[in-house]
Formats: sequence, structure tokens, C-alpha cells
Amino acid sequence: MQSNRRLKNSDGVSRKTGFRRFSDGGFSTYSMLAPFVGLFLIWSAYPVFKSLQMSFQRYNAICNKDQYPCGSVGLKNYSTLIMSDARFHKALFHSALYVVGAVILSMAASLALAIALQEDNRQNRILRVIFFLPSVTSSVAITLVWGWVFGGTTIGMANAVLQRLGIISHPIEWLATPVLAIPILIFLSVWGGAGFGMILFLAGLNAIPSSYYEAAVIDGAGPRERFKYITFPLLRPVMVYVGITGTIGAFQIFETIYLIFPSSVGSIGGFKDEALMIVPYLYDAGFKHFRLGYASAVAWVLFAIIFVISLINLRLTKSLEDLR
Amino acid sequence: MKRLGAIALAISMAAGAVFSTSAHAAAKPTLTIWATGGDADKAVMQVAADLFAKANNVNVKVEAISWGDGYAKVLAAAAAKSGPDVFTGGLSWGISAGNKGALADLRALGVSNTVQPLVAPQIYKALIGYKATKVYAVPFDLTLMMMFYDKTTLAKAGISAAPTTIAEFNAAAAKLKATSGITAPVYNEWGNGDWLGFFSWLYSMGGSLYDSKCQVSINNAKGVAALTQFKKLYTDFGALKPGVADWTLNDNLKKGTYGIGFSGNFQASSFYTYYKDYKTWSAAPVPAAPGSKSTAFIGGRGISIMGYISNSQKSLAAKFIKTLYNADVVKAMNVVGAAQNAIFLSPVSAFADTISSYPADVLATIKSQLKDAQGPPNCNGWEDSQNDVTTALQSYMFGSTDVQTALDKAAAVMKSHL
Repeated sequence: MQSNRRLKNSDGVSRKTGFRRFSDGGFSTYSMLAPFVGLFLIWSAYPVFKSLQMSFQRYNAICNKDQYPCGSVGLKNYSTLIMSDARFHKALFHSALYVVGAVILSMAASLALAIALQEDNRQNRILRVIFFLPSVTSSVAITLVWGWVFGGTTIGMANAVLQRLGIISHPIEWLATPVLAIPILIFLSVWGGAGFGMILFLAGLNAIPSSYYEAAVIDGAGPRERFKYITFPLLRPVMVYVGITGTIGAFQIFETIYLIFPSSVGSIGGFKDEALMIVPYLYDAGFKHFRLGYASAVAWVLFAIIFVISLINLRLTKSLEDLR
Repeated sequence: MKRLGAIALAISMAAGAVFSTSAHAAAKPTLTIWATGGDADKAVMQVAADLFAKANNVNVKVEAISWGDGYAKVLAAAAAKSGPDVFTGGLSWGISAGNKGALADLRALGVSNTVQPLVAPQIYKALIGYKATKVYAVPFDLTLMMMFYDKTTLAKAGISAAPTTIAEFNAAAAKLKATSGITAPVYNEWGNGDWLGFFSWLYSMGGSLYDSKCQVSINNAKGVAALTQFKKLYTDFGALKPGVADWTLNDNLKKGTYGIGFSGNFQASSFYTYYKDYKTWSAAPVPAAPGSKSTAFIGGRGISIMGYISNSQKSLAAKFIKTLYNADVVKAMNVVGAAQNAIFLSPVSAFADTISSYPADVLATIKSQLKDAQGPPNCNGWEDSQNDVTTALQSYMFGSTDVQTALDKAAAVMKSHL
């Protein structure tokens, strides 16, 4: 039996494994899968492995033998990146600050909105649509509008409104004040992402049986206890999902920085590099300087960071589940 | 049946006509040019292309590519071995892309020998790598840093002439600041807060980024004086920091909100060929320190030939580039440039006279400033140092770092890339 790759489960029913199971699927099944698999292999799998290979090379795609010979450099791209590239360290630090701020605040805002708009009535449905609108609007268009809000000296909208309200007396140089760069990016992220998170949290909230709350009320639990002992624990899977996807998205921030933060000559990352993050830095290395091997190394370091954080997040959640 | 036959005959005739036309067109060599800039730059290049096409019985196709991603597009074309035959782009692109193996050697094609004697030596030098044996780009056009000033606003502040020295400039800016109605005496439109804006102050104080042997010299006493002066524009004279745009700059310039500004000659194009109603604004050489020459930054675009094209295409491309230094071609480009608000400033200084749309005093300033202007350094690693140098300069200008430390930081970066 073993030689036939056919195993029996606990019920004594045989199940096929490996190639036999694959080949029994039928021609039509695989022919339907083939277009996707083909495109996936060409456009996703191959580039991923190619970039891994390039990350160990000095590579600029032109590879002129006399002037710029391409070839293996071993771990040099990674060691330079990690040990001595101050600009990458700055980008990494900014990304970390941004991810922490954007993910935590977005989740808090999403959860608050979901709880506030949970009751299903017309007014709440309208408000949900309004809060969800940024998620279905072109991010480039939104970013350009925000650039207009924060840009300018006296006629930037933020300055105009704050001055009209008497909150500030002189215009603030929003995009030219280094300490404001990350907070502005976090604000834009929360504004744009809270609506999407709200929808996910609403789905999670609606999946919690109302009988739990009714029982808790009978037991004398107040709103705080109901949230702490029912809502929060049962929303944990949604939180994990929102947290992981939010973290991945936050690490990948690019167009906002590219569009609204002014670039220095020949570079990207805003005034004094205060808005420089990992993906803009990757773009700078790869597409401004055409150091494709080095940029690939940046991409794989980013992958490793996201992978480890996601793993920690999943493990922590599992541990909490086990504790329960 | 007859009807079907007639249709078949019509189709075959039409197909024959189409294929014979395309075969005829395909017989002509085609030169593809990427002109970095906007539609106006494309239009200016198209003039030269049309003249060349007519004279040589070839097709010349001009396409515009944007400044933002132009360099990446050129390198991508080189990697794919598909794209233009010729392109115009930033001054540093030639050295940078050439050293990556993307471009043809213009010395071997006989272009540099023709062009070098015709153009200003300092701009030619900027396109050739230090101690380089190959030439990957020659100057296509120039962009010159100039000082613009509003005669009416200066008169209102009791200033009778444009400042020529740095001391006079500081005094004039202080007077402007004290005059009511002038909210910001100085604006800085080109190279705002970065190395490019700093460049003219540094060289006009007798300093330099590198010395003649490409040893880093940015952090000497002259560098300190120049950076201290550059910072004053922002701290004392109201220049807007990078990232703070004045969206109503043109209106404010007309209203007299600003007195003095630093920008490229493209500002003159805007004043005198596009809006045409900035008659109170004139131009003067950038201020200099006593004993030093007024030395403005000179940028512009270089023109290169891609390395992957065939030898016959390279010869054709080389022939085309040589025509760009012909007086009649430049004149034709100037006429279109004036109409498109994109004055073509040829690297052949003598051709500046063919620009008829600038007022005489502005044209005189351009010609005098061109004599001592300096292009970006051609030393190894400058391309890779620019960003960190700007960051180091800004750490003093807009941060808490002291001036010497900031310049030492910039120098360290430049040395590390040598």
C-alpha cells in the first residue's frame, strides 16, 4: 500500500497522496488552473526568485563587461545594508515609527468606529459609507489633495483653517518641518485606513452571538466588562488580521512620500530625509541609481522584517488563545 | 460571386497600397530621440529633427520623457536594448549612465571633437568624467542661475541698483525687509535649500566643492562663509524653506511682495515670453565676495547616444547631434522655444544673441554670467554624494548642527565616494 502512495486514515478510508492525488484531478481541472498557474509562475514566482538571486549580485541589468561587470558578491549587499548604510538605517527607523503609530492608531480608530456604528439603522449606514469612502478612492488622488491641504505658505488649507479659527497666528511649514513628517504620514494613514478596518471589525462584532451579551447583562456586567470579557477576546482573530495586513501595508508605504514630500536633488525622502522609509529607499536605489542587486537586498530585508513580525503576531495570538 | 470577387480585389488593392507605403517608409532609416522635459522641449527638439530629416532623407521621431523618471527610463531602455537612439537629459546622466555601460563613446564617433571647441569649456568639462578617456555626453542646452530683482520694489526700499557684492546684497535684503508691503525680501526658486542653491554662493566666495585635482574642498573657510551666507536667506531674509511652496509666486512677484530672487534663466522665459508683463523685473549676476568673480551654477541638459544601437544608427545619431551646434538650427529652435515658453539657450555662447525675446539687459546679464559660470563637478562619486551633501548642509541651515560640523559631514560623504 505504501508503495502505491495510498494511505488509510483512522476510519479505514483510503486517501491518495502526492502525484496520484494530483493526477486524478482530471484534465479539465488542471487546464482551468493552467492559465493562473502559468501567469503566477511567470509574473510572481520567477521575479521573486530572480530578485533573491540578484540580491547576492552586483547587478544593474546593463552589465557591460568592461565598465560594470555584474556578478556574485556573496553577502556584501546585505552586510553593507545592515552594517554601514546610514540612510537605510534612517529609513528603517522611520518605517518602524510609522508602522507602530499607524497600525495602533488605525486599529483603535477602526474599532471605535465599528462599536459606535454597530447598530444597524439608516443613520449609521450612511456614516459607514462616509468613513469607508477613502478606501475606495484613488490613493494618488487623495494624496495629492492632502499635499494641497498641507502645502503652501498662506493659502494651504490646513493653515488657512487653523488661522481662521485663531488656533495659530503664523502659518506652519507642515511639509518642511522634519518632526512633523512622520506624524503627518500617520495621520493620513489613519484617515485613509480606519474605514476599511471598521468594516472588518463590524463583521467581527456582528458574528458575536447576542446571547453572550444578554447573559452578561443578567449577570450584572456593565458596558466596560462586556467589552473586556466578550467583545475584545472574540474580536481577537479580526484584530490579528487587521494588525498583520496593516503592518504589511504600513511597511510598504510609497506613493504618499513620493507625491507630497519634496525630494532633494536626485533623491527621494523629503526634506532632510525625514520622510524616508524602506520602500522609497528601495525605489531610490533600484530605479534612480539602478543598483538592482542592492535594491533586491533591501526588498528581502523588508520581507524578512514583515515575516518575523507576522510570525510573532501569530504566535502571540496563539499563546493567548492557549492561555484561555 | 461577382460581388465577392470585387470585394476581394478591393481588399487586395488596399492591402497592397498600405504595404507598399510602409515598405517605402521602412526603407528610410529612423532616428528616435527622447527629449527630457515637457511638450515644449519636445517641440524645440522637433524643429532640429525636422530640419535634419529633410536634409538627410531620414525619419526622425521625437518623444518627450519627464524629468522625474527620465534617467530610470534611459537605463531601462539600455537594459532592454530597446528604446531611443539619442536622448537629452541631466548633465550628470552621461557620466553616470556611461559608466554603467549604457552609452556610446562620442569621442570615437567624432562628436566630441566637433562640439568641444564650440561650447563653453566649463560646461563641456562638467559632462566629462575626471580623467575619463571616453565621452558619453556633450552639452545640449544650458540653464543658468541668475539673480532677478524688481526695480520698482528696490526703488521703494531706497535701493538704486542691483547689489553686486554679498555685502551689498545683505544690506539690500535688510532694507527690503524693513520696507512695508514686502513680506519676503528674497525667494529662491532653483536649488532651494540644497547643494545646487548653495553652489553659486560657494563659488562666488572663491570656494569650491572639489579642487582642480578632485580633492574635497567644501569644508574650508570659504565653504563655512558661503554656507553661513546661504542660511541667512532663510533665517534673515524670509526665503521659503524647501517643501513650502508659494503657489501664488507669480502674482506676488507682480505685486512686489518679493524684491530679489534666485532662479534659472527659465524664470526669464516665464517673465518675458510667457506672461510678458513683468517689465519691472530685471536680472543681474549673482553677488560675489570682494576679490571673487560672480560665479553662477550652470546646468542644463546633455545629449547622448545609446550604446546598444547599430554602428550605422550611431553614425546617423552622431551626424544629427553635430547639427545642433549650427547657427541656423539654433535660431529655428529659438523661435519655437520663444513661442513655447521654453527658451533654448545653446551651449555655444555666441548664439545667445539669437534669442530675441529677452530684454537687452537680461540678455547682457546672461552673456556676462556665462563667462565665469561653473557646471556641476565631474569628480568621481559626486552623483552618489549629492543627497547626503544636501542633508548635511540642511542639518546646519534648518537644524542645530554647527556650520563646520555640517560641512565636515558633507566632505566625509564626498570623500567616501571618490
